[in-house]
Amino acid sequence: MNQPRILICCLLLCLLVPAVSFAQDPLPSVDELVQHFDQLYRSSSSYAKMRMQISTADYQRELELELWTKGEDNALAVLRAPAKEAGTATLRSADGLWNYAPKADRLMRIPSGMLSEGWMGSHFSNDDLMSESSWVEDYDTQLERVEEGGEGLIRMTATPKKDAAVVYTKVLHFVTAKDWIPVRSEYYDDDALVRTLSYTGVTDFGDRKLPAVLELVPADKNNEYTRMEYTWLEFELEVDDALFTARGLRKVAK
Amino acid sequence: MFIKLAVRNIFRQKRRTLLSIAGVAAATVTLVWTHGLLDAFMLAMVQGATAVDVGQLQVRSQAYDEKTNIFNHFELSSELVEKISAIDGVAGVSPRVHLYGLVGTERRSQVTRIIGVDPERERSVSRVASAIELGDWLLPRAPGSEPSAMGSVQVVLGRGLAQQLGVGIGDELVLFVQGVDGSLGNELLKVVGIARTGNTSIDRGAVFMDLAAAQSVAALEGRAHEMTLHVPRLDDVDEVEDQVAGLLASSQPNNGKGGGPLLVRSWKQLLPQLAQMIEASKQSMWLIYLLVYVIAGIGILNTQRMSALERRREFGILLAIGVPARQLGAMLMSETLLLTMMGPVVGATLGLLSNYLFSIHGFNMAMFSSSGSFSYLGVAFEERLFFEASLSQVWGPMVAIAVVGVLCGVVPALSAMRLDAVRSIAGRT
Repeated sequence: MNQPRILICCLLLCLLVPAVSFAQDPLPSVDELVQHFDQLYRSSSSYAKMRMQISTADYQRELELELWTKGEDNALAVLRAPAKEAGTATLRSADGLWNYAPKADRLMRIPSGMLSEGWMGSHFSNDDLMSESSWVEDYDTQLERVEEGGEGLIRMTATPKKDAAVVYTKVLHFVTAKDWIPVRSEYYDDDALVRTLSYTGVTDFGDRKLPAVLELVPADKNNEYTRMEYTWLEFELEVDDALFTARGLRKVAK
Repeated sequence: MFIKLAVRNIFRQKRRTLLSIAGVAAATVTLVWTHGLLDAFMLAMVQGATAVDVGQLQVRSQAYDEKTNIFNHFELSSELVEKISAIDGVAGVSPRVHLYGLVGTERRSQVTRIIGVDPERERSVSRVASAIELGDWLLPRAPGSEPSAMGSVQVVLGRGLAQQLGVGIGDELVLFVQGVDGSLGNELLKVVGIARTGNTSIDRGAVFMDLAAAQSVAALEGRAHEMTLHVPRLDDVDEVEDQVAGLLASSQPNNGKGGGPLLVRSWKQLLPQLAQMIEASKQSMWLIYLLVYVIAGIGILNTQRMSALERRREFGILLAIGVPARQLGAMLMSETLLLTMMGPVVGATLGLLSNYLFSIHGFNMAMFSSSGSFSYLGVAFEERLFFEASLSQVWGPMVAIAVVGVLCGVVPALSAMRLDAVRSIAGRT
């Protein structure tokens, strides 16, 4: 009969499977990884202090800011330095996006057309900072294993879903295969690289290991960049919902 | 002598002659009037386009001329402003700062142009100060006072922008502007006036505010993007441009960071499409002359051929008694020329008269549109267009008709010269 043959096949298979899995861990599920990526610097709630260095052909500047997030919809960024602009803030809630003018003590709604405009003169857009769009909701993602400089990485190829209000045609994220620490994100428009965000300076923030320095370099501008450094980052802390209102904002901005 | 003969000959058939003259005269009146309308239209067009936004001349840095962005500013020297104001033909000089920013309320906001101006100087340069529909124009600031000493900065909004934002006189607005140092400047604004200038881009999306306040919010202290000059007579523009250029060459202010040497630019360079359009319509006038006169010319040719044909026997006798053929041709040529020139003289007189009347009473432009107002290429016109009667409207038609006259006279004159005396007396041709 054929039984010996089947047996051999089974044996061979048993030998092969562990060999493959030893060489490479199976890819994580897309949902899991994208979810992780979406929540990287925000989790269910977060509080951060950061420094931002902006270098453009026309000006150099350095900002200090505080950033609170809660859930998917709420974010508040308040500028602390330079003194001239201290108190300027951007608020995102489920109702929309606002800028706060400390001199005028007024909020002003930011039209959705301004989402991709630079935030406070940096190369980061309102969208980047206030996470209006979501990697889970607005993009379809595929995973692939790549190797760079001897290190195993996972490349996430994110293409926008049909109706997503995003400006890129493709975004590639590279994370380490071992512990999913981001290395680099490349943003494309019509197959042309528009900008690169690189993550360096991995630091322990409480129980999380994350790159503390994010550097954004536009592809079409010589020597321009915005470098953002987290000087403080904590997660899962108590953040009052009232913070993400006009009144709450005024309280912390002043 | 043959001139005298020619005059007599013309009036032998009074009705036919008068009809011919009337035809040419009517053609000339039409042309002179069209010319007047076109001149007035173009003038109104240029004045409308340069009345608010651009001005007739602008002084700007070379970099700003190449790329109009906030970074290409220059150091504003009041000495230079005074010197330019003193030039003959310049009615006003207004240094301006041009910014783009977000203006709005907690509910609505819009990206708009912000024009920082000295209220008094702007009044002497642009129509905006007198085009306030509601409220008032900006008040001049007391010297030395802070731009926002009263807590908010006064602004005048274009009418469409005010509607878009849903604000009226006395309402407050917030302004965010990205300054030249990258900072995000913010300011509380108070609407004091709403302007309807007739310039679409201004009315739909511009905010006028005090120069010093605009400089301060954008970190542009002591600097400007351009100076707009008001030169009321368009004919003076070239002359003034040369003088300003000379002045700039001799007193180039220290420009620091920003954009290279200062240049002077005329509306023709600032609004090239408009200048091209005017040039094209001037050229097309010649085509219209040609068409109208070809039609009138065919009429004259017909008249003259008829009259020459009728007088064939007469010509034969003239030749027989020894009049040289050359003189016979000259006589016929003179007849045609006289006939052709009488029309334009009458027509030009009538045409000038009508243009003069329209220069006093104006031509109602509203008849071209159902809404009662007329606008073209973003410039709204006054309801009445005022002509200017000038001799320049006349010489074009005159030259054109003279050419046509000569051409029309040649044919009958040549055929008369070729006549055989005997055969034409006998009537056997």
